[in-house]
This record gives sequence, structure tokens and C-alpha cells, in this order.
Amino acid sequence: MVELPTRTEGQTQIVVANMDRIDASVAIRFKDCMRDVTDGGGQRCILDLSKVQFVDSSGLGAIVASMKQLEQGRRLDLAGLTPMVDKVFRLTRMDSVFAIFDSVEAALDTPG
Amino acid sequence: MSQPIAPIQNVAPNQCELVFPGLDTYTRHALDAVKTKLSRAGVAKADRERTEIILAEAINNIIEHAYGAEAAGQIQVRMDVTHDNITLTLTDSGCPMPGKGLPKKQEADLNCARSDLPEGGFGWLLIHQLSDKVTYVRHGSDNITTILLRRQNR
Repeated sequence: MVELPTRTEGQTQIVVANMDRIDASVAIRFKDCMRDVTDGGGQRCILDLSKVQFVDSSGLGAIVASMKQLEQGRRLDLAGLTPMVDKVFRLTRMDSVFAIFDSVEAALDTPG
Repeated sequence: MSQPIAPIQNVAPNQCELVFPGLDTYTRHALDAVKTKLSRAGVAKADRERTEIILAEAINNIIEHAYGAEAAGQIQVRMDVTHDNITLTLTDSGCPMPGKGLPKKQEADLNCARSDLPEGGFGWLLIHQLSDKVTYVRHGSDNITTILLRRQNR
């Protein structure tokens, strides 16, 4: 079950990845759900990954695809990466592709 | 709905053997069974985490490439934990590895336009980054992939 609750703070959309794993078994649904949820959203979207304990390469690909799905000029930032997820982003050097923040609050404090 | 996987019982204390269908919904249960064994064997946290990432990617590769669009066969995972090493042996009856050899550790060029960013191909990179040795053999109609991790004890 892919749940992506969303809220807006000013101009910024926050999407919460409400699952403990983003892996091959949910990657496609995650990507599709992100497309729906971010449709018509603001210039900046922050994906809150603080509940996610594990992301495999399929999950990583789905997060990249979610960013690519946004229209030109919109950005997807990541917040609250837990240690194993952070490790996977660093090993694949995806930490150079996304702006990554310790928390949603920290992301909101830093202008997009 | 997939079921938790019961490890095969009559193996040595620091061994674990599982057989399960090559379907995405079982991967998580295979990882859970292996993680339980790693904890019981006293393996340190970072080593357990490396093992989980490597095994997830190796299983994904079998499901996606060895079995692919064909009806999935079984995957057998064996793990041996010694004082110095963790050895994972994965056996499947899917297609052979293209070119009969392992994909190389290829780092993607991420310095490109957003629309050109890769969405895949990270699996082998992660396996190579986190393990110490990977071997592959084709044995009859089976693929046998062996992955060695030297325990870092952290």
C-alpha cells in the first residue's frame, strides 16, 4: 500500500513517504503515486523520507523518476534520510543530484 | 500475499539456507530471515546493513534479469558466517548472465541534464562497492553467484 500524505507550507509542497521501505516491490506504485500527488504542486517539493528505513536501487530509481516527472523549473528536495538510505544515496553519488536535508524543518529553513 | 520464509532447519549454527519464489513480494521476507541469522551470529551492525543491501540487490537482479518476463523460478540463498567473513551464495535457474560474466562496477555519469539522469543500473554498483569479492558460474542450467564480505566488525 503506497501512501503519500501531502501538505503545503507557503509555496512548498511536502510529501511524506509513509512506508518503511521503498524497494522493488513498491517502486512502480511509488513513482505513479508521486506523479499524482505532485501534479499541480508548487515550485518546490520536499520528500520527507524520515519513516523510510531502507531504499534499494529500484526505490532509488523511483525517487529519481519522481524528480524527472516534475515540470521544468520545479525541484524535488529530500529530507530526513535515515542511515541506510543515506548510505545508498552516497554510494551511488545521488547525494550530488538531490539537495538533502536532515529534516523537513531544516529544508524549509533553507530557501529552495 | 507472500508468507515469511522458514529457513531450512538442518544447517550449522552459522549457516542459513532459504528457498523462495523469485518474486518481488518475497524479497523482504528473505532479507528478514537472513537479518535474524546475522543478529544471532553476533554480526556487527554495519556488516549486517552491508549484507542486507547486497542481498537485496542480488535478489533483485535475479528476479529482473535471470527470470525476467518468464515465469519466475525459485531462488536459493545460502549464507555462511565465519569469524572473518560472510559468504552469500545465490542459486537460480534463470537465463545466464549476458556475456557469461559479471557486470562491471560502472559509475554512472550524473553530470547531465535532469532528463538524462539514470533511473537504474545502480544494483551492481552497490554490490561491488560493499562486497569484497563476487564470482559467477553457470552450472548446468543454474546460475551460481557467490558474494564475499570481509567482516569489518562495526
